[in-house]
Amino acid sequence: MFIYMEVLPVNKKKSIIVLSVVAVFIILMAVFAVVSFPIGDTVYDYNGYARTIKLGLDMSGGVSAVYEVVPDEYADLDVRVTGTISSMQSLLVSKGYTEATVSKGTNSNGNTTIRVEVPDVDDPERVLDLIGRPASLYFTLEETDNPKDVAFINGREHLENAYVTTDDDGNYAIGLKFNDAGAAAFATTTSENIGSTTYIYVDGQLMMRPTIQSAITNGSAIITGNYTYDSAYEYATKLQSGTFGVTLKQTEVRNISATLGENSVRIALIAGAIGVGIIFLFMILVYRGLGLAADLALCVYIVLLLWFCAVLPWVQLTLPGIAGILLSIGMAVDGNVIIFERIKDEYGHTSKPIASAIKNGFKRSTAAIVDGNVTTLIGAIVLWVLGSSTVVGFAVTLFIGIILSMFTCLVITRLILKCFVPLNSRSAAFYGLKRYEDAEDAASGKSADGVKVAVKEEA
Amino acid sequence: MAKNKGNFLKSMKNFKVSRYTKVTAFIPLVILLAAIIVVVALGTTGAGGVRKGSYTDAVGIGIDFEGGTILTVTLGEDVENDYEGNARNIIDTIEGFGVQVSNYQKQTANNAEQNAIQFRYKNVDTDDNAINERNTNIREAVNALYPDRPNNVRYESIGATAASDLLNKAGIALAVSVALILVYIIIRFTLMSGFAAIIALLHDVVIMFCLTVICRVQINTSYVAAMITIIAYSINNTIIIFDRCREYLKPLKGQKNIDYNGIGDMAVRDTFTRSVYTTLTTMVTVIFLAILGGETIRQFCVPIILGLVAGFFSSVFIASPLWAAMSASFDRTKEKYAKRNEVTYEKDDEGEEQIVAKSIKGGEVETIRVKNLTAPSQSKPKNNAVYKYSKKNTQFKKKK
Repeated sequence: MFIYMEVLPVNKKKSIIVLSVVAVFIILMAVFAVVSFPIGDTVYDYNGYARTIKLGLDMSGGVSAVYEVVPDEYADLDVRVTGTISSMQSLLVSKGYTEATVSKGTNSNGNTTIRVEVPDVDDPERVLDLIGRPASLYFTLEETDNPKDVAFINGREHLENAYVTTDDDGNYAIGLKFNDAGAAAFATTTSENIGSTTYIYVDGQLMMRPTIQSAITNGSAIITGNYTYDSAYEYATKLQSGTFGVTLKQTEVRNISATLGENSVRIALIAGAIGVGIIFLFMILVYRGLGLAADLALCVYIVLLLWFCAVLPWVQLTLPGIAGILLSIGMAVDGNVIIFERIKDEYGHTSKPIASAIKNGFKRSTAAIVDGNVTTLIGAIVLWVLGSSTVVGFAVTLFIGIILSMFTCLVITRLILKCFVPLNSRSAAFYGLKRYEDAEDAASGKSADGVKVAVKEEA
Repeated sequence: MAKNKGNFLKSMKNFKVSRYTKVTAFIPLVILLAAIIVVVALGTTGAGGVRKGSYTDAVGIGIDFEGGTILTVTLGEDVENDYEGNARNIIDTIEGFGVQVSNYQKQTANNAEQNAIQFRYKNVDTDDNAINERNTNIREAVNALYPDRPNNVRYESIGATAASDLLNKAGIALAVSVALILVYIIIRFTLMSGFAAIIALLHDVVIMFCLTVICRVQINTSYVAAMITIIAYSINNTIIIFDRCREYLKPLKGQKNIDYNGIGDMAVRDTFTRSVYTTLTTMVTVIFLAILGGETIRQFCVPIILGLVAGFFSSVFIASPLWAAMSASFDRTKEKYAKRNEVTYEKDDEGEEQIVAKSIKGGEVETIRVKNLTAPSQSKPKNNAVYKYSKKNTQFKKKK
C-alpha cells in the first residue's frame, strides 16, 4: 500500500479526482448508514447499517424469558441446572448475543428458575428460536417408540456440544462432541456395531439414521447427509438444546426496556456528535490544512467503524462499549497529532520544502505509531482469545478501533495530504507551519544542566 | 483556546519530569490509601448499602457477580402513563429498607394489564431466612403504595448473571498480555523500557481500580472491559514517549554515563503537546456523555475520565523517570560486572609490567598475574566522561 502510494503520480488533476473519491465515499457511507428504503421489486428493505448495530440490555432492552426447572427423578439437579445455564450461554454467544445473560434463580414457590435475557430482540418468540426448544436426545441401535429405554447415548448425560462442520468433501455436516462418559459409551457401541444403523431421536422423533462407518473412539463424530448450511445448523441447534440436562417449563416471556432509560441511545449519540464536532474544530484550529486532512480521515474512520460494528457478529454495544467507541474516536486523532507534530518539527528546524517535510514527518512517526498500536493490539487479541463472552465483544470493538485508526492515520491522512500538496505546495500558513528562528532556537535550546535541546516544541 | 494552550505549552519548555519524582510518586500512593480507607470504612461500618463486614460489597462488586433479588411490580397501564414517576416512588420505598436498587426496567407483555416495572437489588443479608423476611417486608410496603392493585408485587431471587470465571479470565488475560507486551517492548525498545512500561501499566490497573472504589461504581462485566480499554490507551501513550527516548538514545549507543534523566525529560517535553491533545480529544466525548446522561451514566463516566487522567499521569510522570532511573542503574550494574573481570596493568616489585586479570568467583577475588611481554598501552578508557545529548548527533542520515 505504502509502496503503491510512493509511486502514485500526483498532479493537480489526479489530486482533485482522489479527493473527490474520498469525499463521495464518506458521503455515501454516511447516507447508507442511516437511510432505509425498499429494494426494487423484492420484499426486502434496506436498513441503514448504523441502525442494525446490536445494542446491549442496558441500552435497548430486549426479551426476558423465565423457565421453571421441572424436578425429575435423576440426581444432581443443581449440577445439571448449572450445566444447562452454561450451554444456553454458549449457544447464545455462538449466535452473536454476547451480551445475553442467563441466570439461575428461585421463585416465590421455591422452585429453581432459569432466567434468559436476550438484548436487542423485539419478538419474545425469537428467544425460543435462539436457545432452541430444549429437547431430549437419544442414540439407539434399533427403531423404537421408546428410545429412552434402549438408548446407548443420552444427550443429557453424554453429549457436550453439537455444531455445524464440513466433511472431507466439503459438504455441510453436523459435528458431535461427547463428554468422557459419552465418548466411552460411543466407542464401545460403535466398535461392536460397524455397519449397522444408529437412530437419533430428538424429543422422541426420529431425526436421522446414519450408518456407523468405523469405530469412533475419540469422543467426536460427524453426521453426514444432504445438508445445507441452514438445515445442518437447525439440527445442530436442536441436538445441542437436547443436551440441556433438565426439563424446562416456560413461565414468563416479556419485553424489557433499557436499564439505562429509554433515551440512553439518543444521549450517547448527541454526546458523540458534540464531542466529534469539537475534535473536528480543534484539529482545524490547531493544525489548519493538516487538521482538515485529519478530519477527512476521521470521517472515514467513523463510517468504517460503524460499518464494522454493524456487520461483525460479536459486537453488541453496551454503555461501556459505546464509551469505548467514543474514546477510540479520540484516539484515532492521536496518530494524526503525532505525525503533524513531527511535520512541524521537520519544517521548523530545516529549510525543507513543505512536501518533503510532510514526507519525512510521516516517515519518522510511523515507528512510534505502529509500536504504540501494536502493544494495544496485543492486549486486544489476548482478551479476544482468553476473555469471557462480554469481554470478547469489547475486545473485538477495541481491535477494529486500533486497526482502523492505524489505517486511517498512516494511509488515508497520508493520501489526502499527498493530494493537498500539488494543489497548494507553497503556503505554509495553510498547513499551519512556520520556520523556527535560530535565535529562539539557541535561547531556549539550553536548559539548566547543559543538555542541548535538539528538537523543540511549538504548539 | 489554542492560543492559551500554546503559551502554556511554551512554558513547559524547560520542564523536567525527573525533578518532581518525589511528588509524583506520592500521588498514586495517596489514591491507593484513599481507596483502602473507603473499603475499610464502609466494610466495617456497613454504611451505604454495604453489608457489614463484607469487603466485596465495599469494593463495589455488582449484582452481575453476586446475584440478588428481582422485584416485579405489575402496574398495567400505569407503566406507560408515568414510568419514571412510579419507578422513583417504588425505589424510595425499597431503599427505605436498606438495600440499593442497581437498576430498573419496564416489562411489557402482549396484554397491557400485565405490564410491570422490575427492580434489581443486591441482598444485604447473608442467610436465606433474613433475605426472605426483608423481601417480604419490601413486598408489603410496595404493595401498600397501590391499594387498588392487590398482590401486584412479587419477588424472585436471582443468581449471578456474569460468568463466574469472568474475573479469573480477565486476570489471566491481563497476565498473558503483560507478558507479551513486555516481550514486544523488549524486542523493539530496551529491557528497561519494557519493565518501566509494565510498571506504568500495573499502576494504571491499580489506580483504575482505586478510582472505581472511591467513586462507588458497581463493578459489573462490561465495566471490567471499559477499564481494560483505558489501560490499553495508557500503554500506547507510554510507548510514544519511549519512542522519543529510543530515538535520542540511538547516537549514544555503547556510551557510558548516559544522562538518561535528561533524555527522559526531553522526550516528555517533546511529546507533551501530543500527550495533552490526545488526552483532551479522548476525554471530550466522554465528558459530554457525563454531562448529558442520567445519574447512572454519569456514575460510569466519572471513573473513565479520571482513568484517562491517571493514564496520562502514569505515561508522563511515572514511565520516563522510572525508565531513566532503571536504565542508569542497569548500566551501572553492567559496568560493575564488567569491572569484576577487568584486566589491568600493574608494576610489580621489580618495576616490570604485569597483566593482572581479576575475576570474582563465589565472593573470592582470583588474581592472575602474567608477565607482560608486549609493550603495554597506557591509555585507559575515560570512564568519567558524561555523554550528553546534543543536536549534532541527532541527524540521522539514511541511505535511500
